[in-house]
Amino acid sequence: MDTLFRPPDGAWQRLAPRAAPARALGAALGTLLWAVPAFVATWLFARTWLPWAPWVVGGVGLAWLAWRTIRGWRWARAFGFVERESDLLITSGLWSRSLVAIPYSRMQSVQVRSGPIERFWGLARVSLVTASIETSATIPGLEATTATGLRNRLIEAGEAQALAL
Amino acid sequence: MSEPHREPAAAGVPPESAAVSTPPEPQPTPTGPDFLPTADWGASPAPEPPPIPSPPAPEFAEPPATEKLTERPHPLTPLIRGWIVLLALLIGIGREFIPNGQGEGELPPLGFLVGGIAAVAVIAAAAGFISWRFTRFVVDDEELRIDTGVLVRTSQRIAFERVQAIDVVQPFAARFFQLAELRIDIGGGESARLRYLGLARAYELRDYLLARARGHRHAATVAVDLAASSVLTDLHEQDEVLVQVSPVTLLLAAVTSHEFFGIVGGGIAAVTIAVYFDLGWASLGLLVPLGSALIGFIAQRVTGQFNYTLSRRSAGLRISRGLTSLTSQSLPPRRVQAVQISQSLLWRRLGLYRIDLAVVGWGPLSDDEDARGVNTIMLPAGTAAQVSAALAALWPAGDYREIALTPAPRAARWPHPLSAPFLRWGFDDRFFVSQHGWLVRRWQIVPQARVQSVEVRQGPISRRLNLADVAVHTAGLQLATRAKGVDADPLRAQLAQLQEHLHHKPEHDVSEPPGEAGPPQPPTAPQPALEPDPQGYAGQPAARRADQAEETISSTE
Repeated sequence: MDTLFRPPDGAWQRLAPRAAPARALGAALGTLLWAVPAFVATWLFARTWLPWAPWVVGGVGLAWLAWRTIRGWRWARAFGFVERESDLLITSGLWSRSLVAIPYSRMQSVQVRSGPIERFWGLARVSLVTASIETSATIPGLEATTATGLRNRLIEAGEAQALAL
Repeated sequence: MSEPHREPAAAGVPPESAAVSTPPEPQPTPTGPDFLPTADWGASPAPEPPPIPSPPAPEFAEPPATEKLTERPHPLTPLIRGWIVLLALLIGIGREFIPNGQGEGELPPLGFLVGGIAAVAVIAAAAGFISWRFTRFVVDDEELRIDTGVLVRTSQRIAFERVQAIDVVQPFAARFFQLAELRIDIGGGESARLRYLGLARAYELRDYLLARARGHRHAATVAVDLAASSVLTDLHEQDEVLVQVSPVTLLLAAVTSHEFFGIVGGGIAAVTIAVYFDLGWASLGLLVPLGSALIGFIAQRVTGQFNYTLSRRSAGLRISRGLTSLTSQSLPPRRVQAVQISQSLLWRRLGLYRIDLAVVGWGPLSDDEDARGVNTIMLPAGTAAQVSAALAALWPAGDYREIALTPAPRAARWPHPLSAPFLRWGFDDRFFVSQHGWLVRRWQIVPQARVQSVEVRQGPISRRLNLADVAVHTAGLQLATRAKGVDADPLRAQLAQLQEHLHHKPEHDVSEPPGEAGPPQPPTAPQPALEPDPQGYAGQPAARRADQAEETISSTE
């Protein structure tokens, strides 16, 4: 892995093993959400004068579905974070990679959330909130117990390093 | 001039404020309505004489402890509000009849028109009178409270520490009568407004509230000598002028700005198209809106920033500007998240720069003041010396120009063909600096203490070119501060260093030099260079600065 996006200090942690199928399923459902209505619409309205149109739409939809599913799987496998002494590093992305560093002293709150798909797989996501809305520091797909443990550690670190502003 | 009024604490006051308003010691006898508490509230019988004479108030002889002295805005308030409505109406109607090339606009009968306008103005004045009648405010040692509303009574009590900034705004009509509106920014959302007050009273209240916001519980008020202040600038003897921009410079800057050429270019394109398609008179008709757009643009740039003055006094930094509407805006250094200096093509020849501020709660960067009277322009147009004077006032403990900037590698010419030669970035323990842009060059400066998180990004193309983008996230959402086209090879080590600097050490906060209380610093000329180590400042006598006003406030950020 690229050392720019995965500096070799500290123990990099990954998402829970179940996060990859959960992410893939989420991506697949997201694709089906538009692909199925598009297929039905072309079937109903365009079939008579463009008989091949529904099959093109369906084919594109299926290809996209497969692609998104694989990418979702790989995205979750590529995700990593490390709790360092004074900040949290999060690396993510396949094509467009990013590495975010959030000092514990800048954390305002830590959220643990769990959507319906995530709950089904027993997962939860941890989000760090800073004063900036640009900060996108969300760790999706941790085991629920790991997530609360991480939240508690982050809060403790934040309190210990919070600076009297 | 405000009308004194004694109000039983039980009426219209929340119970907790009634409780607060019962101090053990008897309250002093104020001599008039324009009284402010001085250092010892309990002991001094009469604070200061009111700046404007007011009728004697014999009923104050023996004040029961449960009553508080409340004030009303100036009695001329309804008149001015009616006048402003009338003016808006006249301008709105007048605009209908300015020929705009379409030749419509039928006049209703004149009597009907005048009568209608008069009726609206009278109604506005009456509404203004009623709202004035029911508006009261209290500013004393204990609380800042504004009671408003006729049907729905509102009692807003503002904690002194929450006051972020205070603006004194004088619309044109109010200036005739030496009145002003006080806008109290309490961070986020609506700001509390008091309109209209006597000018002296408004300045006095501003200074008092800013002192209280700094945590000075016993702030002595300084009587504002209106005679010494100019009608155009809101400057006083104690003020130390840091930067002033003349209207000539503003005019020059406006006609050489890239926005001006944008309007001209758009107009020329439209006329060319009209001539090409042989639209005849329509092409002439296009010149009218083009002309009015240009005049409007220049007028906005010049009148909005007229007599721009950045000054410093004990209560903090202040910017006053405006021709038709004089605005005096207090500038809280600790809330400034990022600064952008920009320079358009022709300004490079003239050596002019502009500074924009990203401040929490100020909304997006804009060219004019928004509905809340907030203006994000720190310096409309100024020389390099003025830029450094302004930034030295904002950040006394650091100079961003000391930072060695890294130019972008040759490979950056692919994703940024035009701006690559100008792309640079750098940081030290106090600032993150990035410069980019082509036609309009921009320098973005973020104090490390304001950085919330750092992000490195690399897309597929950048990866082939071994480049990356570095973004620093701040709470000022108006500016996306980022360095583009950064060489990825040394970035690995640089990033570790940058993350190290983020661990905010108080002595590295650029808006407050470390050290203990001392006399305010003598007027600062733009400082050519500063000590490289922040500790060098501890030895300077000037340690404690006036513009730390917002220190305690910023805890609410």
